Amino acid sequence: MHPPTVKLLAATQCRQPYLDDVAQRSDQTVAFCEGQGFEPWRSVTALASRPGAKSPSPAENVQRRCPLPAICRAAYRIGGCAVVGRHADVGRWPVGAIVLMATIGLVWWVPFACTSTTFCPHSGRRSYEPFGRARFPPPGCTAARSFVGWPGLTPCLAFGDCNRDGSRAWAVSDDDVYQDVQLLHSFGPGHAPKPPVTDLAVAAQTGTGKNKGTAFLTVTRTSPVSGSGTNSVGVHYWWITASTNGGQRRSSGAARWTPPARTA
Amino acid sequence: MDASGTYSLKYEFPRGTTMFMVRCQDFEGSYPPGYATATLSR
Repeated sequence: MHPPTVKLLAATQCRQPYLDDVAQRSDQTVAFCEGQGFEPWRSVTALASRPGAKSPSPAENVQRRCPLPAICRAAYRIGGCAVVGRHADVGRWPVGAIVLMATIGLVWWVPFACTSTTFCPHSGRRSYEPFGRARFPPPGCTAARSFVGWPGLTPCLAFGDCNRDGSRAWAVSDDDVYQDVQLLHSFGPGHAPKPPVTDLAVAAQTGTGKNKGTAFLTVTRTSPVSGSGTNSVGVHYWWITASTNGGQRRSSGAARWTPPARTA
Repeated sequence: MDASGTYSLKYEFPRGTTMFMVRCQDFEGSYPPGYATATLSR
């Protein structure tokens, strides 16, 4: 069965930091949702054992656990061992990692021992990922890490699908030769990408007495992308207009909306 | 908007039926714009 196509950049349910990370490295990226769900020394077996998760077939995903988790964790914390970090690659390892390896002397094998191998049946290629897979990322993860990995050996793409409902929190995909993103396997039921939920409402009430000509308006908005707190946060802005008897729309209220040019 | 995502304002509106429309959009155009309306008559 041919895997369905997933348009990565349409996965707008992810929060902006995560999308930024994926978008910038959409050709060769393994992205993890960091935070509660990201523990790089955990293997995918823990993920697969979660309720509702689908176990990866051996052909799709071959894991090697880190034999010495303490070393892996320590190396990870200084940014070394395997290539973990935003846009890092082998040629740009932190000095700390190089010093650690030179000091210990025997840890040249650690990146390999700590690396999990993902085989992409679609392309027949493999990717190498440090420390195993991310644990099941929680819905609404707020940060991401990506790494390029070993040069020329990272055709696979793994991304956490940050749906608010958590219906699919993790997937592995692959860019094919046409730059389409192919879903290789996922954990949880597959579904089309969903736009973020933005709750926007306006309530209007007429005043009484001498305020009969005054409309008291309340605008409420919640957005998974921008959050709340001002009228223009992150990538979202809002504005309000008024139209009487079908006439031209006029901006209503104080100048709290942006951009003013958008208000009639 | 305050921390709860609420903003209140007043508007002196003329006689007739006035429709208020609030819109929300992202700068990149990546997401569908949202809107909501409310109507008052005087």
